Amino acid sequence: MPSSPPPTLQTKVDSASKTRALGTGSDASSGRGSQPEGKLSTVCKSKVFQAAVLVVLANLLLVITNPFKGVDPDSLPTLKSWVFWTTQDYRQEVDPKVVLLGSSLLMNSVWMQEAEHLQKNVDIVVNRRTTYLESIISKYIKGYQGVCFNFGLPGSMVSDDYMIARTQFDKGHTPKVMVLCLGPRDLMDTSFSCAGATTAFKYLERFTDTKDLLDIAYTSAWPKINFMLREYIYFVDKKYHSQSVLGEQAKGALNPIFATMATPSAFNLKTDFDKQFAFYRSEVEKGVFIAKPNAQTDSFYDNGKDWKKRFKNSNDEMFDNQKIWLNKCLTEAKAKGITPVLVNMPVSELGIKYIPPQVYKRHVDTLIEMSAKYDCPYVDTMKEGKFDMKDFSDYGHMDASGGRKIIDIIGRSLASDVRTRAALMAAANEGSN
Amino acid sequence: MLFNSAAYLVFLPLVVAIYWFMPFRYRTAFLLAASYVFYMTWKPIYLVLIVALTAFNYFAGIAIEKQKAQRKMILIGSLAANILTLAYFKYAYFAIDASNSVLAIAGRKISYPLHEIILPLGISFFVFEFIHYLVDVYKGSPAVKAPLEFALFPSFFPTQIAGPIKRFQDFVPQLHKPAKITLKDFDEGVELILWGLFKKVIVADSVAVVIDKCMPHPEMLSTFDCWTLLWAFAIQVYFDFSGYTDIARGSAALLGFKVPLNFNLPFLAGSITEYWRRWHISLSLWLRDYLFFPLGGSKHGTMATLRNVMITFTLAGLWHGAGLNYIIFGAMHGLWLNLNRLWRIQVEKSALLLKLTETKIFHCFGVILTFNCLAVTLVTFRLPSMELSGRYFQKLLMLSPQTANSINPLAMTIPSIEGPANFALFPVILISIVIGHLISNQLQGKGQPGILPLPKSLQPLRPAYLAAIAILLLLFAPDGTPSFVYFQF
Repeated sequence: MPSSPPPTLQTKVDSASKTRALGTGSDASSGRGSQPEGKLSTVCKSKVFQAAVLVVLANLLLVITNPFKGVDPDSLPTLKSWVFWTTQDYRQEVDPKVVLLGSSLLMNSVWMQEAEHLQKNVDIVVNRRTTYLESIISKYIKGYQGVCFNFGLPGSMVSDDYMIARTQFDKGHTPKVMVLCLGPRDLMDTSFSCAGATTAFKYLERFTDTKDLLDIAYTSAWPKINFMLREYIYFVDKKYHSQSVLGEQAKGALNPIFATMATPSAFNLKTDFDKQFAFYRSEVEKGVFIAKPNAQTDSFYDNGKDWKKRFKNSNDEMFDNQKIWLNKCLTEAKAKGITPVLVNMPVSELGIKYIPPQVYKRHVDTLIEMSAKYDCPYVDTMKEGKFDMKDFSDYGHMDASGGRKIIDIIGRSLASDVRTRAALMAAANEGSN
Repeated sequence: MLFNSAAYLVFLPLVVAIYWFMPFRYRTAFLLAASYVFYMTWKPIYLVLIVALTAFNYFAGIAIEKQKAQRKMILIGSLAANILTLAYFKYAYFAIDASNSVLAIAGRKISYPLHEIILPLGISFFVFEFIHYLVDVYKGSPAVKAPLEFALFPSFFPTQIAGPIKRFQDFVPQLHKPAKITLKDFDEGVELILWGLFKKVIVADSVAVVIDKCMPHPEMLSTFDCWTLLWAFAIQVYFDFSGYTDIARGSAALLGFKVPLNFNLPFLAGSITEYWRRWHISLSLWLRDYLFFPLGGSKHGTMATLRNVMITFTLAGLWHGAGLNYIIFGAMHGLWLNLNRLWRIQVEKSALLLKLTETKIFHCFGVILTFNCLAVTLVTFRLPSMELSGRYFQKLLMLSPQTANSINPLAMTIPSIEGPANFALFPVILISIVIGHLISNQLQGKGQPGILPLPKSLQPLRPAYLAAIAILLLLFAPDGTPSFVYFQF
C-alpha cells in the first residue's frame, strides 16, 4: 500500500479557500460571479477556437471539392451486409419480372426451397434467384420465362422495402410485379428505434437523396440531429466510406506481411451455431450459410424469447410510421408501372399465441385496406395454405417445406389474379418476341 | 447519459453556459439540479436513493460533530447504513444465489426467492464518498452545514458515475473560492474532453471489438493470442477508464472545478506497489485511508501487514463486483503486493540486490513483469465465469490438453479472422498504442499530467493537433454509444 500520496495526486485548492469555514454559504464578494472573458480578440487566442476554425475550414474545403463526387455508390467500400450482397446480385439480373420483398421470414424459406428444387447447394449470400417460383408461374402462364428474385432481408421493415423500390427498381431493373410479403413484425418491430436505423436503410441511402424522408425516417430527436449533421459535416457524412477506404488500404498493405506470419483462425470455420446466427450478423461473407437439398428439417430452434420481445407491446407509433412507408411503397410501385401484391405471411401456431389478437387483426386489416386503396391483389397465406409446425424451424421462420407452400400460393395467385396475370403475360410476350 | 453520447455533447455546453451567466448565489443550486437531471436520465426512480442517502449522511455528519457522547455510536450506525445500502444493491443477489447453491449442494429443498436488483449507477463511488465524509468528520473535520453544498458533493455530475472519488475538504471549498473561467481553463477543459474521447473512441473501443469476440473462446485461440488479448484488455481498461476520467476532469474544469487525478502513467510502474500509486489513485488512497490504516496498516509487523494487504485488496476486488471472479481478481492483486513487499524486504537486506534494482535494465524488467502480473489478474475481471477463466488460464500457461487439431501455441491467428479491419490490424493497433503511449508519457512527464501531450517546440501546432483529433473522432464515432467499462461498478 502506498504510505503517502505522491505530490501530483493532491487536488490543487488555493490555500486561502482552505482556511474558510466549510459550508458556510456563499461568498458573494469573492468574485466567483465574474463573467467569462468575452472579447472577440481574446476568444481568437483560444487554441480550441483556432482548432474549431481549422475543422470548419477543412470541412468547407471537402464540401467544395467533394472527393467522393461522381463515384458510383456501388463502387464505394462498405460493410458487407446482407443488403449489400443482395443488391449486388440484383444488379446482375437483367430485366427481372417478379421481385419478392420481405424479411427473413420470406428470405430463408424461399432460399431453402430453392436448394430442394434445384437439388444442389445454394449460397443465400450471392444467389437470390428463385427458379422454383419461375417454374410455378410458367406452369400457369405458358411461355413465361422471366426472372423471379428473392429480395428478402433479415430484419427488413416496410420502410426498407420502400427504399429498395425507390433505389433499385430503375431502368433495366424494374420488375413487372412486386410481391410484398409481410408478417405482423414487419410493420411494428419493437427492437428498432426508427425506420432509418436499419442496416438496409443506411446502406440504401447512398443511392438517393433522402431529405424528403427525414420526418418519417428519423422520428426521434437524436437520429434526426445526426442526419442534419451529415448534411453539413462532411466527416460525418462520409465516415463509413472513409472507414472502409482506410480499412481496406491498411488491410491491403498488411496482408503480404500477415499472410506469412498469421495462421488461419478457428473463428473462420463456421459452426452450426454461427450459421444459426448468420442472419443476425451485420457483416456476412460468401458461404456463411449454404442451403443443402434433402436437408433434415425436423430441428426446431427455440427463439421464443426474441419472438416475445418483438411483440411485447403493440408499438402503435412504429406501426403508424410503417403504414406511411407502406403507402409510399405502393405509390412508388404504381408510379413505376409495377403491379404490387400484398401477402400476409404465415405464423406458426406457437408464434401466434404470443401476438396479441388485436395486433394481428390490425395487421391483416391494414393489408386488406391497402389492397383496396391501391387496387392490388391481397393474398392471405393463413387462409390459402395449410401450414403446420413441421413447416417451421422456429416460432416464425419456415423451412424448405414452408417455403414450397408459400411459393406455391404466390405463384398460383399471381397467375390467377387478372392484374398480375396481365403483367406477367406481357412479360411472356416480351420474351417470345 | 454517457459522456460519449450525443446527449452529453448538448447537455454539457448548455450547463456550462447557463452556469457562468448565472448569478453566483444560484450556481450551487443550479449545478445540483443539473446533476440530478443527469442522474435521472438513466433511471429517474433512483434519484430517490441518492437524495435519501444524501439527507441521511448530512444529518449524520452534523450529529457526529455535535453529539460528543454518542458520536462513535452514530458513526458506526451511519457507516453501517451506508454499507448495508451498498451491500443490498450490489451483493444481495449474489449472496442469495450463493446461499441457494450451498443449500442445493447440502440437499436442502428450501431456496430463497431471487429478484433481479438493478444496481444504481455510481453507488459504489458515492457511498465511498459518504464513508470518507463521516469518518473525517468523526476525526475532527468540520461538517458541511450548507445542505445544497453537501448534496452537490456526491452528486456532482462529472464525477457522479465513476469517480474520481473526491474528498469533501477539496471539493466544498471550491464552491466558495474566487472563480472565473479563463481562456486557459476553457482550453484545458475542452482539450481534456477531446483527449478523453480520443482514448475511449479511437483506442479503447477499437481493441474492444477484438477482445469481445475472442476472449470468451480460448479454445479457438493459441497461447500467444491469449497473451496478446490480455495485454490488449489491459490497454482497453486503462484507456477506457482514464478516458472517462479525462472527460470528467475536463467537464469539471469547464465549471471551474478541479477534481483529483486518477491515473499517473500506471503502465510505467516498476512494481505492483508503484502501480497502485499510479492506477485509480482516488480508490487506492481511499482504500489506504479507510480500510488499510484502520485494519492496522503496516505498524504491527510483516505478517499483520501481509494480512491487512490481503484483506484490503480482496475487499477491493469485491467492490468491483459481486462474484467470485472479482474476489479472486482482488486477491491476486493482494498476493502480488505481498510478494513485492517480501521481495523488498530481501532487497533491503542485501547491498548487491539493492544496487541491482537501481539499474535501468532492472527497472525495465520490473515494468514488463508488473504489466504482465496485472494482465493476468484481468482474466477473472473480464470473463463472466470461473469455469471460463479456468480454461483461459490453462491456455495461457499451455496446460490445455493437446490433440492433433490443437492450435500451435505460438501461432498468431487473430489477424486472420474475417470481419472488420480491427482484426487484421490488431498487432499494428497494439504496437501503435504502446509506442504512442510511451511517447505521450514521455511528453506528459515534462508537463502537466493528463493534458494533451505535445512538446514545447510544437506548441504552435496545437490547434492543428486538436483539429486532427476532432476530425478523427467525427470519422470514427460509433453509431451507438458503447458503455464505459467502469460504469458497471
